[in-house]
Amino acid sequence: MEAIDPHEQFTRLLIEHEPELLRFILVIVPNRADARDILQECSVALWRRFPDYDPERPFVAWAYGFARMEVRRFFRKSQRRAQLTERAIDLLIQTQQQHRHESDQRDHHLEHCLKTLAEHQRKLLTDYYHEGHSVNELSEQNGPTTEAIYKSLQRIRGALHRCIETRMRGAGT
Amino acid sequence: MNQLDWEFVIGRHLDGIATAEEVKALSAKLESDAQVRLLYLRLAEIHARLATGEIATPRDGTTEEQLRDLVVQLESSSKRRHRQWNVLTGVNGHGLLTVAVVVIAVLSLGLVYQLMYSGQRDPGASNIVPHHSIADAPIARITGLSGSLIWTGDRGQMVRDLKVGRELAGGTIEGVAPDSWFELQFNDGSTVMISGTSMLTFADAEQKELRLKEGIFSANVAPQPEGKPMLIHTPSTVLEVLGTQFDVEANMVSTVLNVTEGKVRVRRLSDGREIDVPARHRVVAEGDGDLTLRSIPESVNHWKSQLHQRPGSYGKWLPATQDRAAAQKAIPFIPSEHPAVTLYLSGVPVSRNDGRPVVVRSDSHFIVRGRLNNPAKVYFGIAVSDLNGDFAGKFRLDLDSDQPFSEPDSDGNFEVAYRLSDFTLDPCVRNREDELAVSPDDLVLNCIWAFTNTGSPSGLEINDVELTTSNKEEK
Repeated sequence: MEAIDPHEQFTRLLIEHEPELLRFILVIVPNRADARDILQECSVALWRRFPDYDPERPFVAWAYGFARMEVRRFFRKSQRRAQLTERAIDLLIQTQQQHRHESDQRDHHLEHCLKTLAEHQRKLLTDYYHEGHSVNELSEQNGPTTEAIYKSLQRIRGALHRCIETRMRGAGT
Repeated sequence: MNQLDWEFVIGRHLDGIATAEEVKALSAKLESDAQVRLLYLRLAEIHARLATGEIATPRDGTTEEQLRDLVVQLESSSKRRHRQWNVLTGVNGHGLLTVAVVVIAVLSLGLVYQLMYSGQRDPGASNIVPHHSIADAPIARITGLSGSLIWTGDRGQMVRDLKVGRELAGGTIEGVAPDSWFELQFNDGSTVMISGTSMLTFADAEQKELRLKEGIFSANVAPQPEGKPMLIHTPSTVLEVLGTQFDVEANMVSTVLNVTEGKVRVRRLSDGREIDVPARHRVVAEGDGDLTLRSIPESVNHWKSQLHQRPGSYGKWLPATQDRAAAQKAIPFIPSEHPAVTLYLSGVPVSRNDGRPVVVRSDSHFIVRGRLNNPAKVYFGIAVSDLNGDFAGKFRLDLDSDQPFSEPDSDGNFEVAYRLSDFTLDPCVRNREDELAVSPDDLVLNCIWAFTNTGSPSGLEINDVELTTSNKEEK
């Protein structure tokens, strides 16, 4: 039987699981540029160790180990800004793993809850998260102060959180 | 801090604007409290999902082609660190160092009347600012307003027709109704806001100096020059901004300062005593009483007006007698945007003696008891702020033609309930809806008002307003 090209196999697995890995990192390292740097480091490590990967095992579970390692490495070497303690990060990672089984359900509810947002709120999320505009840029373009934009983002996420929790409770009853 | 406070701190952390002090406090909480840990994860997961494309609007994300290219690069030189996946730009995390101040001052009935009816300015209203020479050059620009407002410039020029974008030199801004709201941005980017029946005198002659006579005041202040902190004068104290972020609550006879972050110095005018109030502490400066630090108390979800003890913020206060309960009688109010309309309006501030913020929840409802001459629609509205004191919006029951008639009984008494879930953003602030809360859920209640629009006196009196929730567990 023809052996599968490792490039092909790795690419396919990375494409499939890259969003999940990035999400995992973003939860602990919310800064998107930092998270993508960590993901890139993680990808390098995964590629280096790919010959050791056992295809019988789930790729994402294997990759999470590398992601956790890179996150910890990032925190150790990063002195640029205030950061959570190692203990807090470890506990967050543990808690995250304990609740991973809810992930799909929460994704589904988030999708619904996003539809309940007003158009201007969706636009702000799109501009900020998808178009990649910084809050300063949005402030310069649209007029509101940066503080007001941060506040809007907080409120929108808070509203989404409550919407998801309500639906989770509903689903559980 | 309660869960809502932690939600605020977590949000700041996610956006990269939390201070070192906040991150330290958050870390300690995450280490010790499983509930907050879970809250963090829930909020961070939403942030992460949004950042990785969970929202419906598609974007150009990481494509298969890009990944293939990456693999090739990795193979040739795994040491190269291209940022080709950086489709999104991160938050720089070092936004404007801000200071948030909220001062709520409630005037006595006599002073309200003096302001509302005599049209005379209190001679003490600007006894601070005139110490400085205020240049004609504008020091600030109006960035938002609604409701009835009067600006009096340094040379006594009185302007009612204020517009967003207008530049102002120092002066005094008055909000003349419970639903008045005004935001001003100084040249250095600092913003101040008043809402409700308020009077604020402001100047910036190399040092920002403000005097709040009454009302609700909030500010986001850029770092000030060394040795020239922002000074906020209230009738009983001087507040000096020393640190980063905090919020304050005060009234005319006492000043209650709640500091959520940073440090604020309070000087009591009556005896000159000073105290530095650090993060998560409060102090009450009242008469010659104690000036001691206390921890900021937890919020509550239930509240009841105390008109038997103190007047409301708008209307005529009728103290209790043997025959009748205390009431806040509605008085005429002409909205500036509808000069042909005369409403009968009554307003009540929301404050608790113990300083605990009153937070409304999605299952909250208001019960209003009062008197009417005849059946009438009693419109009801609220003003809310964020936990750090920033103005978050005005909301009102918006049932339009379905707004129920309140039917007084044979003694003229009525009772009506309003569910928070029926409230929407007040039309007068919808032009700033991007910056305001979507709903009043989980925000701090500052004041309530009720009015009739019957074209003639309705006899509306508010005896009692109660905020309660479906869940009675917390009192």
